[in-house]
Amino acid sequence: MNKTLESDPILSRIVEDFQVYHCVECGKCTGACPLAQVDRDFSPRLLARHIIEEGLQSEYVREKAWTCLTCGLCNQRCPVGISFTEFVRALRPLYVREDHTGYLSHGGALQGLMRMQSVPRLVQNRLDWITPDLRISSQGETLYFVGCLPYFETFFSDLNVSLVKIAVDTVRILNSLGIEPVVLANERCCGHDLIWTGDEGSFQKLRHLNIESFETAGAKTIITACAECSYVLKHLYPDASEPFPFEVIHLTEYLEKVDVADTKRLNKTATYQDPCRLGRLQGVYDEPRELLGSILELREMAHFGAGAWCCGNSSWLHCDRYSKQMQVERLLEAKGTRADLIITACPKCQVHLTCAMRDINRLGDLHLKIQDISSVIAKSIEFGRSS
Amino acid sequence: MHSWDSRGPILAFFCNWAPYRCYMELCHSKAPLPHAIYPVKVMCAGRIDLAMVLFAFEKGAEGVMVLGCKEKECRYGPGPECTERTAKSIKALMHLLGLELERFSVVRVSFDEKNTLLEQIKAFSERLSQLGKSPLVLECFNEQLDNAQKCSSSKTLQPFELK
Repeated sequence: MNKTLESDPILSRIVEDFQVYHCVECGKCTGACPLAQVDRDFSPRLLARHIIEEGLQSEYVREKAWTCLTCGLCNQRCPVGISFTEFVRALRPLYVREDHTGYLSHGGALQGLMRMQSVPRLVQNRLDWITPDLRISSQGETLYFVGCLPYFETFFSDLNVSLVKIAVDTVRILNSLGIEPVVLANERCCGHDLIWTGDEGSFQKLRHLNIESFETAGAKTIITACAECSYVLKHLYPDASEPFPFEVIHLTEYLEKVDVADTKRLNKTATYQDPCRLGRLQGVYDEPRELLGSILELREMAHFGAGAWCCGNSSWLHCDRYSKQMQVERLLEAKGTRADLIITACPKCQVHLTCAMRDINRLGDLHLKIQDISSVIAKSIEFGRSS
Repeated sequence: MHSWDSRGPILAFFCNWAPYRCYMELCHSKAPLPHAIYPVKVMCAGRIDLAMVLFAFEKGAEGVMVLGCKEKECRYGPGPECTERTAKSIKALMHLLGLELERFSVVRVSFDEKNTLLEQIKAFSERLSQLGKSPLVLECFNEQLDNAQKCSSSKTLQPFELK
C-alpha cells in the first residue's frame, strides 16, 4: 500500500472493498462511458489511478467523482468487476465531510426538498392526486410506493411533464388486477439523491421513517413504478442494523409475474429507454420489453439494454453542456428508430429528455412524445376494456 | 441578536429599487420594524428562485417575504411576472410539504409607500407568531444544538446567523 492511502484508513478501506487495486488499466470503462464520449477529460480508469496515487487530495478526483453519472455502464465492461457506481457513492460522503460537493443543479433545491422530508414532525399533503375513481386503502399487504412524483411535477411545472400521471396509472393498473394498494399519506422520499450526493445522515433518517410507516401499514410487498425507488428500497434499505421484512418489486417485474389479461394492442411504435437504476443496477431488461412487446411494436435504439446510454444526469448533479449533448444524442438515436414515442420507466429520464427537447437551437427537431411505461400499460388496459 | 424563544427569523428579500429604498427610509426614521426581519437585497425580486426560498425554510426561517416593485414599475420588465411564477411553484411545494402557506408572502410596493411596507411587514410577523413554530425550525434548532455540543462548550449558540 502506498503512503497516501496509509494516512487515510477510511479511504484505503473503500479502495480495498471495491477492489480498485485490481484495475488493469485497460480503458474499456472509458471507451464505454457516455460521459467520456462528450467530455474528453473524464475517465473512470484515471479516477481509479488518481485515487490510488494521490488520495482524496487529487484535483482530478475532487472534480470527477462528482461529475460521474453513476450510470453503471463501466461496471458492465470492467473485466475485473470493479463497481464504479458504488465506489463513487462511497467516495462522495468523504468529500461532503470536507464541505466539498459537486455542482448541485437547481441550486440544490431538490436535495433540500428531500432533506426537509426527513423531519419527523412534517405532515405532508401528498395525496392530492387521488381521484374518487382510484381505490386505495390505508392498511394492507400490498403497498404502492409513490416516491417524489408530486414534488417533481410541481418543481418542473415549466416542462409540462405529467409525472403524477405515473402514480394515477399505476393505481389504475393495480385496481384492474383487483388490488387496492396502500398509499401512504405521509410517505417520505426514498433518499436516492441524498445518498448519491453523500448525505448519509439524512438518508438514514428517511430510511428509518419509511420503514416505520411500512410496518404501521402492515405491508408485505412494496410495489414501485420508479426505477430509483426500487433500487434504493431493494438494495440499500436492507441493513444489518434493522430488519427489513418486505419484498420490493418494480411494477414491470410485478406485472410480468401476475399476467395482465385485459390489455389490447395499441397501434403504435415505440422505443424503450432503459433507466440505469432499473437496467444495469438491477438487471431488469426483459420484463419491460416483454410487457411492451405484447401491446405495441417495440424498436430498439442503437444503444439498448445493458449498453443503453444515460439520460444525461443523475441525482440532480451537474446539469451542464455535456448533459445536454448526451441528451441530444440519445434523442437523435430515438428519432432514428422512427418510433412514435419513447417509453421509459424512470421519472427523471422523462424530465431530462423533455428538457433537452426544448433546445431552441435544434428548432424542434428533437421533439418526440415521451411516456412512462405505466401510462402505456394503463392505456392499453383501458382500451381493452372499452372495446 | 434576539433570543430563539421569541419570534423566529423572517427572511425578507428586498428588490434593490422601490422596496429597498422604502426599507432604508424606515431604518433611517427609526421605525419600529420587527426584530426578526433579516433583509437580503437582490437586484430584482424576479431573481428569487425556488432554491433560495426553500433553503431559507430548511435552515430554520419561520417565514419568507419577497418584496418587489409593482406591476408596471419594474426596472427590468419581467420581474413581477417571474416572481409570480416562482411564488406559484413555491406555494405548491409548501402545500405538499405541509408548511402553512401564510409563511410565504409576496408584497409589492411603490417608491413612496414606506408606510404600507411597514404595515405589511408587521402584519406578516404577527401572522407568523399566531401560527406557531414551523416543524423545520425545531429540527434545525436540534441539529444546531447537536453541532454545538460536538464543538467546544465555550462557544455560545447562535440560533440563526447570517454571514
